[in-house]
Amino acid sequence: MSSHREAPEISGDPAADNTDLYAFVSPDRPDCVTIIANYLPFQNPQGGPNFYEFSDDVRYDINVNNRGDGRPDVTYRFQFTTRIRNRNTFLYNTGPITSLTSTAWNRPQSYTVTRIVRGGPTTVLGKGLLSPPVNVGVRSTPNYGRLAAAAIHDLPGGRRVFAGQRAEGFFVDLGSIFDLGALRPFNMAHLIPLAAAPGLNGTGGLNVHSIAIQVPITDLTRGGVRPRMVADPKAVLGIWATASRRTTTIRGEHPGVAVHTGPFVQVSRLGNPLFNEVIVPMSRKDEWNAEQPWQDGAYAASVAKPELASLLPVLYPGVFPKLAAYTKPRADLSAILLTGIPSGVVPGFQNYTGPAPADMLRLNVAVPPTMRDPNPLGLVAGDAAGFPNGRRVFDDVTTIELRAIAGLTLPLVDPSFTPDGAVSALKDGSTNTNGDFLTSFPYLAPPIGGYQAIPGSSAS
Amino acid sequence: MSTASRRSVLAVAGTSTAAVAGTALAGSAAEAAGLATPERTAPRPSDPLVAYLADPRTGRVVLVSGESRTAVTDHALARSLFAATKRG
Repeated sequence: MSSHREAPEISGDPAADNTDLYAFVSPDRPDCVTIIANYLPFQNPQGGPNFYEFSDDVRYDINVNNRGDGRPDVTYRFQFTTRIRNRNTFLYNTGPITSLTSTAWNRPQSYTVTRIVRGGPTTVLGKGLLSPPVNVGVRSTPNYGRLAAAAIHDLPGGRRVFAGQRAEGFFVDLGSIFDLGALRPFNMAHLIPLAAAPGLNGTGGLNVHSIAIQVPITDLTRGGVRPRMVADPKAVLGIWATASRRTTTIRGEHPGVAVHTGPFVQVSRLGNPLFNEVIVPMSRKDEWNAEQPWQDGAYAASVAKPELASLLPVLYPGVFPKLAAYTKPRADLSAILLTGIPSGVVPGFQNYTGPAPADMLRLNVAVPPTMRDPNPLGLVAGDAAGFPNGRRVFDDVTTIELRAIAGLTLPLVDPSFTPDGAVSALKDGSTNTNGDFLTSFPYLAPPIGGYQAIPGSSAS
Repeated sequence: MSTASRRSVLAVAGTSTAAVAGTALAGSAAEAAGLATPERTAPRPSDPLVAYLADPRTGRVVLVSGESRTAVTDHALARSLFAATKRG
């Protein structure tokens, strides 16, 4: 997964588990950047009566670096408060929820948004902002679109925020990929061959929780400027999201009530999709989650010699001979994931943040959004407004990264290398099956309703 | 650590929620990187205080309360905490 259940420790703490991060210049507000941080993976829409929700004990941060040092220059912090309206019922709702203030909604959540500059000056942008309920079903949440729309809040300074349930937008053939790296469309070429088959979306029918914020570009850049030239170093932002918990939890003092105390410490992190998932060894994944991007030099060797690049020629015998023969460090992957792409590599483009290796989603805000026929394969397909220049909700990051690791991007930095013939066709074959993405904020599709959800098969 | 502050630690520990770990706990990677206390606010008297003996050999005791976390090296405090675990 992009970053769902990607590390052993955080897999046991879904409310704090970063799953995906998106950042892009907003197509309908090109003077603004939208950043979406998702949490709470693999939500079965029917998961009541205690449906999925943000945790009051978790501090959710979206961090932006604008100086190239992998440290937060601007942080948007989200902290939630959950109420129980009626303490004498087991129900999430005691009737149809027709508005965010409906008394039939028994467990409303609200939140505070705070903007922090370089760990210092702090501004509360909004308090008591209501999240929407989860999409329970046609009787309980009969007009979900209206509920969700009411949960989009305008903030001072032209900012806008939403925090609540959405349909999972990340698509990947999980069942196949984690079954010894199989890609169904290429089953016949696998070390353990099967008949070729179309890819399946492993996140089909599932929801996530999203924190989406849309802010003027000038809210994020160094010096508060709006860069117009792609080559301008101030145009490049490094973005990552985190979740933090208190150091200490005490159980047993008061039955059924855990006491959380101590400073917040980071337990989850996400910049580029699949970085912790695919690059970092399992033994170091939770350590990586607790660290900051400026510390990622410790993982640079895993980027330069990615395990998956070694596995592909083994899993697909004879398909990747040129990749198998390549022994030099992968400077292309180091650029894409750790430093950004310098000028001169892709004509007319750069998102370089300097030599300090840091896993951040890098966005050059001077690249305008692609309004007509944006390509989900992003920069490698000539669409510079897409991943790895930020990440749009529809970008096919699995295919992009799969092809990059297989050698597609190597000629950018090593013209002597010619990728294997199969690389440009490589894919897992999955597509988004969870409803159409929206053309305006918060861009991710409405969540799948519990009543509307169709349980999957039980094939073994 | 002064005697007075040590007394106050033990007093708070005795009247509120306190946990004492007799086994050595390795310092976290975050602590080693200086990241453990990005924010510090003074704990309130009503906040629970947790003291754990991180390293009996060095007398390193970690005190957690409110949003603060403080590590002290105090052999006497370490011995007192350890002895207290046998009194219950």
